[in-house]
Amino acid sequence: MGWNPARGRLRIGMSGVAAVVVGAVVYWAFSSGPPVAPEVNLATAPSQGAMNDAHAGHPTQAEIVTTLPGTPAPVDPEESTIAQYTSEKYQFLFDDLRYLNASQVEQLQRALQLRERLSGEMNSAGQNDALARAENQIRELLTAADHATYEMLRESDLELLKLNEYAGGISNVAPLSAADRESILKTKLAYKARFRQLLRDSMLQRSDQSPAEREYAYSMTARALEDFRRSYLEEVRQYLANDEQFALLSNYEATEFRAELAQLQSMVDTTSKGGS
Amino acid sequence: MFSRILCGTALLAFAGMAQATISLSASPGNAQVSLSWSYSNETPVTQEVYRDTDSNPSGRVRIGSVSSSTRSFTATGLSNGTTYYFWIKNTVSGTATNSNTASATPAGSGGGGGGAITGATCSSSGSTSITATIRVTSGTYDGGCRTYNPSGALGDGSQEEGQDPAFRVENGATLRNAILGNNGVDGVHFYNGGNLQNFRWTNVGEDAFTIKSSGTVNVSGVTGVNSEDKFAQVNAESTLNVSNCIVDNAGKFLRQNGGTTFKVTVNVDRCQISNMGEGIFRTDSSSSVARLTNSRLRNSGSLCIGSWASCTGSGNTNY
Repeated sequence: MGWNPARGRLRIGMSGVAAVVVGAVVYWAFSSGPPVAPEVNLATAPSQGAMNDAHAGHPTQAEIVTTLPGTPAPVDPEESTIAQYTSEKYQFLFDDLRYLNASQVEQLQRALQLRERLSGEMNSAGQNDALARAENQIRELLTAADHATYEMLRESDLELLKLNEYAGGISNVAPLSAADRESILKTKLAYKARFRQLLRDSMLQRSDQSPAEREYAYSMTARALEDFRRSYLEEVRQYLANDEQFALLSNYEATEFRAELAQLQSMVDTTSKGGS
Repeated sequence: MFSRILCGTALLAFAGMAQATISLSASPGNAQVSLSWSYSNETPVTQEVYRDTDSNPSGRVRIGSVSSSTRSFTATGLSNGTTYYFWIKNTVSGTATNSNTASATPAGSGGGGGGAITGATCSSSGSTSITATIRVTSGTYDGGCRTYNPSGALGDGSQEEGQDPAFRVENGATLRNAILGNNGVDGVHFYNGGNLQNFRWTNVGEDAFTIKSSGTVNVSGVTGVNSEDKFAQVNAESTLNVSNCIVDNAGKFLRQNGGTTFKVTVNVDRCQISNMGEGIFRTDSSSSVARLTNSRLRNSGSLCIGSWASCTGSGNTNY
């Protein structure tokens, strides 16, 4: 993998005296050698690590993913992997960015790659500041509408993984076009955002609720999950021209939503057992 | 340099600083992994659960957000036999702390998977005629519990060699939730590994499934009846993990291709095996290994037939 993330981070929660000691010690420890945490540079967008979970077993993706305009040529396999993952994850953001010139598109691409790399990093010093800088740069480059699209796609890892699973599975039977994929992903993300808000509001995971309150929260959330599934599929139905694509999507999602429901049930069970 | 870091760490500890840690553990189940964690010198606020199929956190996928009071999570919908890696990420005022990496391999033999023997749980939701093999070369093909009826172009489900399979699963892909109709043709073929979940053979044809090339094959939640000869056929060096199966009325549960000497590793766990004309495992290879655990047997013949390097059973009962 070529990258050994730092484990754990020193949390400082003590006196000013200790803070002075910290500064002195850190300076002393690193003053004569290279920094342990790499310097973050938006212009070079370092990257690492394979995006295996989202790509494993999906050879057809290479045909589907388009290289974004202005994407710098990757210089090593790891950088290539993260560049490809970023391209795939945000490909629908680049549908209509004609208000950006080539240089700005390249800046955006680099900021996105950096964001993806940092989000996978483990507790490295400066990570949060660098992430904030990358987020700011992305916000400055995009219109409000496109930034909203970005925020939606930013949370799309799991849905992208599942879309790739489904698309790969039917690739020899009823292959999806890029437009099909975009319709499915965007529709699902939109409905999922609503569901996630409802899940947060439901307080399903709170441990201080009575069994009856928890059961009520679960039943409401389970119903919302079913509404999410039905509404999302009904809307996607309008976009897919091929009946088999839709039938197989319905099959696939029925199984995935059942697993999601089991996950919700396990939250209730765990909480009620005092597992929290 | 490293000695300076170590000395620096000691000094920091002396200065009253405590290292914030999240200790995460993972235990496997059947198609799921249970996670539990605890904190040291850290207050949980925004907790997120991440998953990956390698230990490198880059590219990991967030699979859940849990409340600040939660200390456990069950990751479901996983593939038996695949190792998954997990992290808990806690964010306080924009500063993130990650747990250690915890890994687990759900279900499979020896994977700690328990539970009842149910076999396939599909009830037919309709039927689909197929005139050519369905190839699943990546991702997941979900049949939605439909009954797939192969035409005569694929074969007639007899013991005649050279029939085509109804499904061909390749490169670690997954086929799930399907029923193969009365014409079982040559069942399911695996190339370079794959996964079969919740699958029923109404009437096994030439074989229920065949491993055609090397890889790891995971089969779980399956039911197959009326194999005239073998239920499973292995034609290449491979690992086969079978869990939660019901197999009735066959010559043998598994046969390594006759006369071959490559190594096959077979783990069968939580299966109900009945009415085997000859027995359960058969090979001619002295390098192959087979194990049957936690299973229910009736009129199943010999457990081991042939020259296995190792062939064992434990936790099995007759009923």
